[in-house]
Amino acid sequence: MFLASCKKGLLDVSPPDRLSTTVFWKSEADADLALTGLYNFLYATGGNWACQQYEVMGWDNYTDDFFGKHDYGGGYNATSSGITPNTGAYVFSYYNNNYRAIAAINSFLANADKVLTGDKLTKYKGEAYFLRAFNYFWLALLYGNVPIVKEDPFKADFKTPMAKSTRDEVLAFVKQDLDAAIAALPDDAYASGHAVKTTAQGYKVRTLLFEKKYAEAAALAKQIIDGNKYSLNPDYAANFYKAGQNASKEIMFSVKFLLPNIEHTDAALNVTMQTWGGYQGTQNLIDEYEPNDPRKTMTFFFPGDGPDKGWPFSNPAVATPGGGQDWIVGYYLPKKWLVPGLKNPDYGVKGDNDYVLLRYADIKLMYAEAQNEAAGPDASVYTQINEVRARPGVNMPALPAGLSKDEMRQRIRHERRVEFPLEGIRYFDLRRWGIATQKLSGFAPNPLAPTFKIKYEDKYEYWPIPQTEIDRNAPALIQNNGY
Amino acid sequence: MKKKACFISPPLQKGWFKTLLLMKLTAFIILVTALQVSAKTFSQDKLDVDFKKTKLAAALKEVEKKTDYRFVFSNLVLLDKMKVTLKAKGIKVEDLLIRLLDNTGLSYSLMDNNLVVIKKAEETIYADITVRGKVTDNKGEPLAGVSVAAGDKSGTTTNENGEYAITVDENATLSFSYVGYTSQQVAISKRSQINIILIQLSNDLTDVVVVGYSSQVRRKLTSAVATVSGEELNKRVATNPAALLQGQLPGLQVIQGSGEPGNEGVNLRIRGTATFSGAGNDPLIIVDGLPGNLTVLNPNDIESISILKDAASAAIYGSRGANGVIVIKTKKGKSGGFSLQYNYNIGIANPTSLPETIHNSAEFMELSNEANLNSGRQPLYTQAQIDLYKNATDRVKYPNHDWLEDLFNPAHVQNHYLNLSGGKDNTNYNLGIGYTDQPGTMIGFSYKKYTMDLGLSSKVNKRVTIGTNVQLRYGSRLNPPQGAGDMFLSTLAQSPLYPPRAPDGRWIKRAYSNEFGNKNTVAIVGEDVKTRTDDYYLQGNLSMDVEIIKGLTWETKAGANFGTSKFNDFRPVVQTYFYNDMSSAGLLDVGTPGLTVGRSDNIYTVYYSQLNFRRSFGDHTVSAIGGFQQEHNKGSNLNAWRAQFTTNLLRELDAGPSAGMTNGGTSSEWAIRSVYGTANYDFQDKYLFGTSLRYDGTSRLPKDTRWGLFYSFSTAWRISKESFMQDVSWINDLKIRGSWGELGNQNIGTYPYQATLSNRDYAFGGSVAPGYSASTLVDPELTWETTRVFDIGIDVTALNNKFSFTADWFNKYTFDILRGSQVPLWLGLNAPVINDGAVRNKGFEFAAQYRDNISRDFSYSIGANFQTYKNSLEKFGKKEIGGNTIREEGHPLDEYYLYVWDGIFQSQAEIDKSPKQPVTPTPGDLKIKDVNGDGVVSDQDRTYVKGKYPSYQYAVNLGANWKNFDFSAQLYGSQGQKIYVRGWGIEPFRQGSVPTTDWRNRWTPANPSTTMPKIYVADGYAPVQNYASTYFLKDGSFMRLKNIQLGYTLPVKVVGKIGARSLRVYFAADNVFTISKYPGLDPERVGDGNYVTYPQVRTLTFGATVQF
Repeated sequence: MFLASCKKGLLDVSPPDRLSTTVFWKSEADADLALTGLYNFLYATGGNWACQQYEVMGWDNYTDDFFGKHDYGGGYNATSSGITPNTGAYVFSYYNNNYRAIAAINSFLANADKVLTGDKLTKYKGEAYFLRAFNYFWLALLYGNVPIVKEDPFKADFKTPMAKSTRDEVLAFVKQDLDAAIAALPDDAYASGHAVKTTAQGYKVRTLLFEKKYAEAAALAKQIIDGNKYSLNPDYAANFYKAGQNASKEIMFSVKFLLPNIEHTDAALNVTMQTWGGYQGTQNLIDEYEPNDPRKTMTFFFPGDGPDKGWPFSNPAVATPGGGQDWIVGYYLPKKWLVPGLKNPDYGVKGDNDYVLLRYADIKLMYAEAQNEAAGPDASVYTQINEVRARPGVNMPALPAGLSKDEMRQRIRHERRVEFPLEGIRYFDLRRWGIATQKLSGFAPNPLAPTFKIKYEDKYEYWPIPQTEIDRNAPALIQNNGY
Repeated sequence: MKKKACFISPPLQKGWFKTLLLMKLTAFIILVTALQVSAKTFSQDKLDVDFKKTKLAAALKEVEKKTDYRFVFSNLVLLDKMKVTLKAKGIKVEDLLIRLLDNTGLSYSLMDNNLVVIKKAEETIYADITVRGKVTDNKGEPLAGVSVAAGDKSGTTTNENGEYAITVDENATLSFSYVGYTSQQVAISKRSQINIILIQLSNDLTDVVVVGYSSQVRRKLTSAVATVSGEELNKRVATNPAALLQGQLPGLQVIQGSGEPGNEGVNLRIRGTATFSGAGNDPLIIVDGLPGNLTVLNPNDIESISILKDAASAAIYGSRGANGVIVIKTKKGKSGGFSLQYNYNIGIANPTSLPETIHNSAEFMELSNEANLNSGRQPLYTQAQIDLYKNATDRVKYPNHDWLEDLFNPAHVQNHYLNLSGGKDNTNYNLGIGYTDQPGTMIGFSYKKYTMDLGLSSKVNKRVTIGTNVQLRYGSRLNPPQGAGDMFLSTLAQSPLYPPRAPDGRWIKRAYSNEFGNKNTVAIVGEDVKTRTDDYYLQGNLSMDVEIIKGLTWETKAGANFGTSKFNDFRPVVQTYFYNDMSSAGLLDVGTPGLTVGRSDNIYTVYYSQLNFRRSFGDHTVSAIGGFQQEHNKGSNLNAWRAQFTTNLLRELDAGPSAGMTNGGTSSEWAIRSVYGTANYDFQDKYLFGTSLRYDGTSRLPKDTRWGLFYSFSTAWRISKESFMQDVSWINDLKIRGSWGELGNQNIGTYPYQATLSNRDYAFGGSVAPGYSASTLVDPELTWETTRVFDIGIDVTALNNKFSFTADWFNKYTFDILRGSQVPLWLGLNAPVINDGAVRNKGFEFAAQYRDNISRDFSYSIGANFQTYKNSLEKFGKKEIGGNTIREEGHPLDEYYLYVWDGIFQSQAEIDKSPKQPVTPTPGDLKIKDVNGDGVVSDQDRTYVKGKYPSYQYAVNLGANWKNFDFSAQLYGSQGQKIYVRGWGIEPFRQGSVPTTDWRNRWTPANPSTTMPKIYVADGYAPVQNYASTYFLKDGSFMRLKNIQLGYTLPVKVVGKIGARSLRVYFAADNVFTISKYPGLDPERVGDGNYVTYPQVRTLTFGATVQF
């Protein structure tokens, strides 16, 4: 009798600030919203202290180039205690976040044709294919053997444990998606943030190089170069500051930010990198620079640098190791990524530098490397590496003629190391070249504290799959060897 | 029979202490029994008297002058030595006589013509007479079933109106006994009518217990319910009533998370942690019959608190009862004139315990250098610098600064409380007004609380009673925005080489620019970097009770809780300097400069309507309740931010820059609709049965599964009522009881079954584009989390009702736990909330109390309670390992799962021959045990470590009264729990933080310690910090003298001069001392993690209560 008096609907409430999934995929505009949503995964966090996983400099703390005072990216932990299936930071976040992105992409691919047709459908699906390849490429790079998931996650049978595929299978799938993207995407230069054909081609070069398919890699890199969509930025440093990034003809893919609404999730880069000493260069890297290579002073501060050299702090008035900014004696504080003109950067100063994921300089050097491996140090190899060295403002002399293939290989490795510090390249180069253990195991990053040595083991070529995933997919999913 | 009202001495107020109560009533009983009652009644005339050692005869003459009464007495009876001292205003003649004749061995009789005969009480002639009378409690309520006996010759019991009649020898002694009340022996002395007031034995055995939607006589309870009176609670002085529950109720675990004013973080758990779900373990709080908030109350406004522990008592709350229920009754007015009470106390609070730090600068610098060298870092200080501090004569320039002394100050806490209550013409009222001013012991924190409680009830006519209860609170809180933990750790992360502020007033960041550290907390407070929170809360209800026919009432109650809160969090721009050369050191770290303001509000409405039925049919008593309830809640919030202001003087939004400003806001709602009922039956008050059920529908669950049925069954057997127990005289009451039932928990998310899109924007080509994706799976068949409780209990009172004992054993099983499913990571979606998993808590608890009067002047009580339980995760799925805990079937929920610390490496040789460690250790580092014996220490060597939950907890409560003094004490302890803590204060040099003095015993080659490693810089020192080991697990067991209180009630003749009815002064001490192995800080805290939390406080309180 009481129930009868109740008004209906009291118990039927729904969230007033979120759209129900049931109203989605009804109009063309939904496809735009969903595609934008896929790019948002590039903001994923996961490198400790709220830093983002595509804050690429985090990777350099895993190498002989940098020392991370606050464990950004987990580099300090990984190099001092090693990597296990329970390690956090990147070791967990890449696996977790990339599959999250993949799920959204698979869902997009399963629904896009409900609201789109024709060229627009082709292009949108092309971007989705590129992003799926991008995410699987990271998984292949890091963990190697992982499950391949292609279907709509909302229809997936997630209760059945999944086995992993081999790295070769994953890479084959990456290339398949990249080919689909290359076929579907517009042949423009990268600009707005949307992936274009050349972006997909650039990632395919990376993939082929990783697979040691040198001839194919060289051919595709050549195709990008000949396409003339890109050129080296006459101002090397301009690639790393917001003011110059949108206009840079060198950037082929990046994570885009825009103040005031979309800023770095942790404090701005100038706080984490400089004020808090999150990324400090090693003597070993400094020693790698050729005398007078201007990229050295574009990348680092040196003791005694004053405001004229871009030193932003008023105390100490000139750069002084151990003198504040959490700067540890024996290391070098980075200048790269630090917006010129800042004074005493602190919390209040926000940052929106885009994280650059692929530069044209990389395509040129990858071409040089692939061509050298496939055909030897021919003229085209010299051309590409020398153009990178001769960029205005860098103006390094051409390589001497007559280098052997092996000498050229060393030159290219050198060039990559000094061209790309703080861009998340070195760690993967060392692994790709098979010299990671040799270079990193037992390496003492600070010559003033030689007892502190870092840890690297051969097995890290295949990172461990996070223990959670092994547990939840037992017995089908087998851990990578050695963990 | 109307006379009974005349016998009642002035109504006793709740604020009085038990001592006083007992003494007064004891005296009163004697009066009653000494009194011969005639058929005549005294008039209600009142008079004023003031006798000082006046002869009794003279006193009576004085009375004659002022009244129409005439006294008749013999000088043989009335001796000259009988002198009286009495001052009273407005006393009735009869009351006056009672007082005058107290202890004289005399009694009086009222005859015709206002003639009063004074005579000896004793008689010498023996004959059988029939004595009649009525037995009531001290509130005047008749007591039925009281046994009245004259030795073993004859006996009877009182009827429903409390009346008895017994024929006995006129010189015999009657004994009156009743469960829950002290027995009385009364000499008949030829009187034919003897009325008796029985005194409740103790508050734990109070006659009526407030339970769900009703109240019950304790002897009729078939379920596990523990109660405490407001009077008992308020023996301690605290501003948060939740904190006062500690050690009072067996089965309830109370942990006060911190001593922060207005933010004590009191954690309440009834019978353990039952679930790992987001639905949580917090018990349901019922205030005056409706869901409400305990923290908003002023403790003085609380009349009683019950906790409903088992299914039988809580099932009536259905889907919200799984974690037990705390039922609070606030004070109501009482009929019988007006009473005013005022309490004031002032307390001095200090931290109970702080770590001892090394703040000798030279020693600190040397240790810092040693730690940096040990950690592969460069030393920070040169020998020349160290010598400066070592040999300094200028201690301003080269101080040994102890920053903890800056952070903590004694705090003076004040409470004012005013209570007005009374009743007239069927209308009773109670008004309580409280004000609390509570500065923190840690600088920068303070809380002010204003409370009002209004209770009103009016009997409109013979059948209808209406009432209302309203509680209002306004709280104003100030705290540094990063919170107490951050303040504490930041203060520890200051070297002793500099003060917070230079003599010229500038704020200091460090002594030298290469030092590590954190923010200058004194500057934070000095620059008023504080969040200001104002919150307003109102909970209130209206009720109407209608007696339809005898035994059947209709009860309706409607209530609303409205809360609104606003905060203003301003972060200014403040310059800091280096102390060595006073050069600029950049800005004070206040977070991001700017202003955030926010507003939130919540309105909750509820009403229920129910029928209550109670009837006796001969030996059978039946009672039942059936009702309907509906609840609805809606909350919303708004917030806004503007970046760095151009001035620190203006702290409102409009004063800040509009560029880059942001805002946000949302709302949410939920609702529950229910029908419920209970039924109780007993046969001869001996065999009792109860059942209750509730059928709930909630908006949080999908349409098809949102209705759930919850129920319980219980039974009790009062063995002492059996004939074979009648000869066991030392047992007054013995009851065993058992209950079983199912309860629900649906308190997870507001929309857990509804799939929604996540907002995912991206900054394309110079503008931000909106984006969305679906990222969460939902389970369309989601339903309740269910808790099944089986309880067996025993209640005993014995030894002439002086001893009481209650014990319960329970088995509480929670299943279908609402939790995130363990979806594989490759699925890439947020896990759906599903029903899966089970947790069992089995435990035992008891409470015992003994109280006795040794003489009229001295009484005492001793009580103890104890609780223990075992927790086990019975069903979970795949095991999950957290940072330092594990969830695995067959183990306690979130049991510690750690590497085992196995001593200190003494040499490289020892390292070389030991199992390979996960890091590269050097001598002086921790040695970790190779648990599985494979020669390598790895993840596989983590193991289960006991100590997540206490083995047992206990409290001992003592009370004593001697003449006008009263004393109480509480000892409280918790044994067996461990706490995993790290960081500032327990690890050296975290952000440069000062080491504790323990580090003087650290491992060095010269001091090969086996218990402490070498000193290190705790900023990622891998050999100690890079894995969770038992090194960080500390013994958190403790026993503490929680509270002592000593009170003195001034004699009536003294306070009467100021017109007061009573005045009591008292001294109380809280957290007097603690015995624990826990290092440095107070072991009472919630959870693991950072070592530092806002410390608990030791408070010394002086107070007074006056009543008019």
